[in-house]
Amino acid sequence: MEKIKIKINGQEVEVEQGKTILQVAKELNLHIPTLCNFEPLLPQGSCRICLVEDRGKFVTSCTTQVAPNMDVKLDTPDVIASRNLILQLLFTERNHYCMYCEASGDCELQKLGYEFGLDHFEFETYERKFTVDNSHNYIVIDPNRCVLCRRCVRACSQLAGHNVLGEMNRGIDTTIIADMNVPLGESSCTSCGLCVQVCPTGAITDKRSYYFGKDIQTEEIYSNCDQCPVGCGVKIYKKKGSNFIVKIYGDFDKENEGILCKLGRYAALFEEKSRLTSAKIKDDFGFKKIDFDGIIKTINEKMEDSVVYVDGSLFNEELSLIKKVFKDRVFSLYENEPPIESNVSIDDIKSAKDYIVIGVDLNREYGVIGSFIKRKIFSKNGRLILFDSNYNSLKNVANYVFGIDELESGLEKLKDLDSPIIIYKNLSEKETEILSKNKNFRFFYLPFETNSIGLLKENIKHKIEKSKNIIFIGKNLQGLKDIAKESFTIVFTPYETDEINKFDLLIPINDGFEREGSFYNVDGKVINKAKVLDSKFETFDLKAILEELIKVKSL
Amino acid sequence: MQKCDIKENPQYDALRLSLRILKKEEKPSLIEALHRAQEIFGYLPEEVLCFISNELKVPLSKIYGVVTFYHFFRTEPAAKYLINICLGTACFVKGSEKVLKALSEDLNIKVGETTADKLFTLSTARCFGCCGLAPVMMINKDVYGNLSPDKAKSIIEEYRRKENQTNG
Ligand code: SF4
Ligand code: SF4
Ligand code: SF4
Ligand code: FES
Ligand code: FES
Repeated sequence: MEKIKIKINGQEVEVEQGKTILQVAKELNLHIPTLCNFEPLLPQGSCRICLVEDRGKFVTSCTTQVAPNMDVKLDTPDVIASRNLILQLLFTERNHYCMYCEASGDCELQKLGYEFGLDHFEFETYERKFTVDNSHNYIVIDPNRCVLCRRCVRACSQLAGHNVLGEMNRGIDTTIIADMNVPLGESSCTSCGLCVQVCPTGAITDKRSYYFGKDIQTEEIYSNCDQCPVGCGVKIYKKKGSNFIVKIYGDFDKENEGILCKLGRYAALFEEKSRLTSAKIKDDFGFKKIDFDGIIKTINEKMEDSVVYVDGSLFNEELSLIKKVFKDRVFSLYENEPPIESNVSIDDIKSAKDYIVIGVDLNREYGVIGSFIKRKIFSKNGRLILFDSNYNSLKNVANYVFGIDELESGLEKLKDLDSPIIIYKNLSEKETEILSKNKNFRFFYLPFETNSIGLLKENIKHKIEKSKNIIFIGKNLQGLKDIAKESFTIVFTPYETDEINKFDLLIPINDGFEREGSFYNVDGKVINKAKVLDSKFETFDLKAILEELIKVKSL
Repeated sequence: MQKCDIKENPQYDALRLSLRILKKEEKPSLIEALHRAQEIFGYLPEEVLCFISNELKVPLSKIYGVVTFYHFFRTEPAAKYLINICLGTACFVKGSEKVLKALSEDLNIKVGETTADKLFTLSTARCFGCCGLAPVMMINKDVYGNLSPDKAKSIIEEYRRKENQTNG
């Protein structure tokens, strides 16, 4: 980048062309107050609080790029007076009586109030009342607290690609809307929660964190979502001295760019599945509780004539211990080999032009991959071709939609594709054959489960074998029903379900943020997930049991 | 994006045609699309906005923002009956302009205006795709073909009469 010379506060400095005054000032450790600006969103200069003086003219520093001969003054009396006036207007335009606001304490407008020493309202407040939108499961929108910075609108479109939010009307009547001014809960909102994360005021808030604590009462822990193999980076706000999470934010410095999907943002906060709370074993009278030593003893007895099934919810450390204990009798309960290997990464997804998605609803699964693609489509920098015969929430977004059985004929019709990326999960043999023929295609495989790739690395393949005893370790019990009928079945799993009582020994294991460990994400990169919570139940650490089994065996 | 609840009719064919031409441009103009749509439908109902959203791949919220920003755009029908006179080539050649002039005088309003009793809005469009019936006008969703100025006037008279009956 070319360097140019400008003056800031009378001092000559060398700065990079293309940067804004605000960015340059930040690098020089000079403070300029901001409100609507929020990197990595494109600046839009709507709040005016960041204004500075350049040769007698006011400019907003967040939108103005440095140019030769600039003579920028950051806080002349005129600048300070104008900023004060702007802040007064912001406070009087809507309801900013902080005392009754959920955001109080964490609000950026309130912080500016303190920074500027605002001690009274200069003008009469505007009394118009807007209806609060409480229709969404997780999110509340209160237009009365909105400063119209449009961070939410920009985040929902530029970053998350969902394009749900917009604004309506003009001037002082402007409000943030979802779709065509429908309640958020009835809109096309995917509950990714990014708008909540970026809103500087109490206008968009998270229902779950209401009254649970301000940022200052929480500790921030960086971890990862393990609901799918994208493995998004998260920043978790855990209440200090307690065992619960106040809110989950996306990590802007990770590959997911701060974006999460509904699962990553809210699944851990709204636990819906009921948990298996203690270990139990079946005898003639039904189930009875069993302790650690009992578990070890039973497994040790049954080990000889057993096969072990696992699923892709297990972490690498657990898988390698399982292999150590059970050797080559470990299988994946589910199909886990890619029909066609990936040859591109998440970064390639972000920069590609043409996407061909086959039979997977990216809004529901692998949500953040869906975001990366949707934002390209809406900014007209990409095209989406969808092959799916089922309901798919991307159908209206896609440029072309075909049924899954039209794969061959559909691809025939699309001649001008620019090294498209094929995105898929399952493929039939025929589909695999059709796709493999084309040299121009790039492939992005979405593993079935979070650590499907980890299973392959440990050489654990899908295979069903009869055995006297069956041990299953994982979350997805679907495939177990049919094969476990006549065997003594030991199940390590976090959840309590109806079907679970058919099995013989049930061992509850840790789940979600109670677990730590590593897994391979879609790119085949190792993600190290940090533990955040302690289990509230009498669950067992899988690794401790496996290590004990190794010890007992070697005696 | 929402699923649009569209009841197909010639108006949509006309809009589809306009959008197809617009879409040839690199960045199709949303405002132009909305103008066309309002020309065809007389106002901008939600289904139409939804239709444009899907066709042009512009988010609904953005479209709604533009529509509510400019006072020119209407999201409510202006009058009970929207008279749309086709000025497409076939209709024009067959004299639709005379029909327009006659109705404009009869109703005492100009194109785009609504009668004082809020019964009729006069509007024009470019080709409904039923040129065989030229000259053609649509009143709300009903198509009237082979018009002459007098025939058009008597159709309007008929609407008035029915309206008086139901009210009286
Ligand atoms: S939760 Fe996500 S999709 Fe819904 S409005 Fe907010 S940013 Fe948009
Ligand atoms: S809702 Fe929040 S983020 Fe959106 S414009 Fe209002 S204050 Fe800004
Ligand atoms: S995309 Fe996957 S990893 Fe990311 S938040 Fe959603 S479920 Fe979690
Ligand atoms: S921060 Fe620059 S105008 Fe809002
Ligand atoms: S020109 Fe009038 S219907 Fe085609």
